[in-house]
Amino acid sequence: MKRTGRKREWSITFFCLGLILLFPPLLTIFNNPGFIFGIPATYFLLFCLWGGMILVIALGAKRQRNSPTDFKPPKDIL
Amino acid sequence: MSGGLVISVSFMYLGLIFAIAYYGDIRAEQGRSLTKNPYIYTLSIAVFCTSWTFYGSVGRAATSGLGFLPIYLGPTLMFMVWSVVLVKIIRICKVNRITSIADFISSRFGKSSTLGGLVTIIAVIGTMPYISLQLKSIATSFTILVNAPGEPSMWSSNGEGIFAMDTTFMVALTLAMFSILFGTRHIDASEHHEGLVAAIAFESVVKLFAFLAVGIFVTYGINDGFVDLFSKAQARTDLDFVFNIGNDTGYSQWMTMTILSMAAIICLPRQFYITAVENADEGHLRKAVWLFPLYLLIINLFVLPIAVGGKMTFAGTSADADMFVLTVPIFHDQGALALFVFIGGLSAASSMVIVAAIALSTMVCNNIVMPILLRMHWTGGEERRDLSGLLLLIRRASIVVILFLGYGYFRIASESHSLVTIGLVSFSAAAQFAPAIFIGIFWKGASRNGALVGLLLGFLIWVYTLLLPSFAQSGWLPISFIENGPYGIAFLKPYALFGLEGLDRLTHALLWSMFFNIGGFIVISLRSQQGAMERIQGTLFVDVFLHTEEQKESGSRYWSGSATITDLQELVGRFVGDRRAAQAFHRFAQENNIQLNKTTIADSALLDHAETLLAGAIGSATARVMIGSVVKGEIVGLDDVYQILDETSQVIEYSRQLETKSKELEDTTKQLQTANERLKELDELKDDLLSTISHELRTPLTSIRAFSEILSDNPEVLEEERKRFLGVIIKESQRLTRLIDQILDLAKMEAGRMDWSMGKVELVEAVEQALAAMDGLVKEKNVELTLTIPSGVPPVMADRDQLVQVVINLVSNAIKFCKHPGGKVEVSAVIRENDVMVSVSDNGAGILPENQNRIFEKFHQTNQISDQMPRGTGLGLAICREIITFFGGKIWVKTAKEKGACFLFTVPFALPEIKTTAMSAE
Amino acid sequence: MSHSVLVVEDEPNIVLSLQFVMKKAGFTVRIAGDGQEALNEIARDIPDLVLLDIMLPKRDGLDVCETIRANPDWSAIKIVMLSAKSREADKEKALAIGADDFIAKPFSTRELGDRVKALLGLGVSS
Repeated sequence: MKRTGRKREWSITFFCLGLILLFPPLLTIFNNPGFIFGIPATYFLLFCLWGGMILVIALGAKRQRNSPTDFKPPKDIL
Repeated sequence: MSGGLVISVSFMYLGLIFAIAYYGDIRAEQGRSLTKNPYIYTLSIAVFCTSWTFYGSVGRAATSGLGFLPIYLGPTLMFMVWSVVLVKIIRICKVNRITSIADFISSRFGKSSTLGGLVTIIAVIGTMPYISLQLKSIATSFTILVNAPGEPSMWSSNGEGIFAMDTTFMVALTLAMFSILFGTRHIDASEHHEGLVAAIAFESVVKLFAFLAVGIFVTYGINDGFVDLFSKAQARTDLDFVFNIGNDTGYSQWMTMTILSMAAIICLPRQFYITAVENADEGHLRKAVWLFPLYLLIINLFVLPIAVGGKMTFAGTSADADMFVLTVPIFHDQGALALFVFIGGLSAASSMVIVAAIALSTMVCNNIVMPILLRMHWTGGEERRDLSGLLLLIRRASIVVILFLGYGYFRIASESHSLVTIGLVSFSAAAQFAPAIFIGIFWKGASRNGALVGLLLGFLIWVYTLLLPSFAQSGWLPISFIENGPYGIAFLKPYALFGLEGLDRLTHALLWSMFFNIGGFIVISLRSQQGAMERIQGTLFVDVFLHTEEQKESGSRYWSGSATITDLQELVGRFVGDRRAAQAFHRFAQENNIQLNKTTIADSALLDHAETLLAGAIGSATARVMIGSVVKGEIVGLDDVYQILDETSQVIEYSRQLETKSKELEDTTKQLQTANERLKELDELKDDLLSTISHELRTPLTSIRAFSEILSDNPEVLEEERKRFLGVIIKESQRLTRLIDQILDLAKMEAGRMDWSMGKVELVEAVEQALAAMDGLVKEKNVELTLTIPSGVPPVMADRDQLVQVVINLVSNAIKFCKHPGGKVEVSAVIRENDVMVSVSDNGAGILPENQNRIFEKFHQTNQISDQMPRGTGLGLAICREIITFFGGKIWVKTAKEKGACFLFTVPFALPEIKTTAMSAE
Repeated sequence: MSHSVLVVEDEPNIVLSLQFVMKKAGFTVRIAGDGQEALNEIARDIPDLVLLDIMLPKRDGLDVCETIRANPDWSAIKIVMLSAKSREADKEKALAIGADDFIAKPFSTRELGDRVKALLGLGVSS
């Protein structure tokens, strides 16, 4: 795939954001003894954050409509 | 449940897996691949989820709450930057035909076999605990399943005496057998093991469903959904911690585990193998990068419910939380579910063991055994032995060794530890590869020695702070080693190295190992000089996109093995022509400043160069095989032969056309070069001309302005002087006018926009008119002018005024350059067949032969002008040439008899009237 | 004692005008018609200032300028380049090889006089 556009920069930004959110001290925000919808808050929030991260990856990995063809290695390598 | 049933179901399941692998291979051979899609690829990456996930996560959750999660959040984070890291690694693997992580690292650092060997050793030792974890889980789950139902205390089985040991041993043996069956049927390690991938993917599905089944059973079977389960747990005070992140060291361990798992998803040998080496298409990544984290999320959804459910089920007993997944269904009399769970666990464990064993055995074979054999000249010898049998034997033996190392570790160290604790020891070992890989693919300066030192230091710290203490805890080393340090040196206590206390063991080990690993790596890299191969490989890795995206066809490869330069040159010559081959090799030698000795062994750069030469002629695939045919030691793959069959027909035609085509190309190139040079010349000429015109115009202007100012500023100048100055102004003004007229005339003539009034002209009349105009000058200069024109010269076809101008120009030049005093100028004419030739000669200094052509160019002025003469414009002769050429005549100059210059020109006769009318009458 | 100026120029009418202007300003004027002659004149008696045309027969003005600057004994000589080539590059080149001033043709005799005086450290008369 051709690395053009800003996708790489975005991905690094989100990576850093995820890292910051998942490390203390921000992590302590999620780590609370309460319950949300009857489910432990920490468990619930972490899974939501996790799902959000997956969504971000999925959106980022979506093929751009005009994206050039992916790299096909020389035939003889496969 | 009877042991016989469990064993037969297990073997049936393993048989099924084997059948899937077999079928997958058959499909691949038929070209109808099962595995070349992103979903299978995703599921195969899920080999990440082993018994650790299947059994251990619940155990972890039951003891330290949400502390099991970082192991899955790390990979998710890593996959967020897939486009920066993963794609690059995969591209590098494809382009360089990497077969393992050891291959990757050794290849990055100049194909160092030492480094490859070191990585392999670290990988084998580091994987040991991980394999033991799988063996332990299978053996334990088997024991529990066979002994159930029984005393709940039974379920806290930590290796039940001799029976458990035997079970573990049997498991190791069985898995070794299956690994051999799966992995060593092919010999070419760089080939894709499609069957294996299919089987692993299937196992990923089984373990996911088995785990989800238990989760749903616990959540909805025993309880009334999540809310019910959690509210029951909330009611109990002893379970609060389960809902949160850990205890005192919880946060540091959380961070450590996140970092470790980020590294592990790339650096574990089996993950590297499945993700990078077995990747069939880079495009699959686009789906896999989010599907795999999603798989992780789904399989972890029920970890907490099962842990809570297990805790409540076995409240008050010492039941092993690692086995809740299995023991909870058994407790609730769900035999079938329990068996399914066991199979799921078997899937998780066996897939890890098989992939790890195959990846490691390839590394042991390629990076340790083969280099040693090659060094011992085992594979040399006169007759070329078939080595495939030997290679297979080595791989099989190493699989057995690897599994029994895992079994050994189980016996020595892991019986008393939880699954996750054992696994993390392995993760820490794998993390040692991270600096070499991640820094290596972004920093060209990373050197072989740096990588060696970094890896070695990191590995030693790992051994010292994690591996040895685990031996000590099991009594294989004195426990004082941990408590007081070796020989009582507290400074060196393995869990508080250099006095660093207060951290959990894992964080402590990671901190120190990474400090020394990264530090050593970078410091030594900065201090060491890279070899040529290191630099080449470094560039190839770091700039992999540059190399592959700009020139798609060249997967730049460097050859191992040897061929003499003569061999190589002959081979290349066969396809591109001997002369061209010789030239190319000569140029290569010059450019790289090396001596090409006929009998010396070609180095890898030359081999690569030869390959490139050939590839240009016969296609890259054939080129590689052809080079392979003279290079001893490179195995030609089956794929390559197929590739040749495709290309051969084109090759024959192509190589025949090549010679002629290249000749044509050479000619065209030459023509282009000439044209280009000519254009450049013309361009320069144009510049020069403009500059010259400007100069020529400015010179008279300078005098005019200067004297005008002088006269204006100095009213007191004498009358005589004033007249003289005014004379200069008038003369220079005339010169300026003449110059401008001539420039315009010349420009018109050159552009073909001159108004010519062509007609019959009597030559004698024209010449006499011109001489009459020069009369004043002739008298002034006291020049002897003679005119000899024969009578009866037919009329010529010309523009009368212009013809007169030509004669004036030539005669005034002659007067200017003839001898002073005693100047002689001679004008004569000769009648020839179709034209008349007029000559104007003087007795001056003449014109040097080398100037005789250039004298007709614009603004060409000889430097031989005497001071007394007015300056010419430098355009007179150029105009003469334009005029005469337009008349259809020629003008040139030669040296006169008396050493002076002799200008000659011809003018064609006018055509007879009759002929013209006759022609027009027809 | 009046300053001496060497006029190096091959166009007779321009020589005439320069000679007049310099004399008028009170300088002793000598004349050279080409580069070689100029160097001979300088060797004979060192002038205070050289008015040097660039396009000269035999040795061109740039050549003469370089030769003057290469000789330590002649370092005091001021050099004013005259040229009908008025491109910025020509001017830069002339200044780079050691000319003190560059005046493009056609020039103003007043300006020329002022510049020469300035170079010789004389007050500019109005």
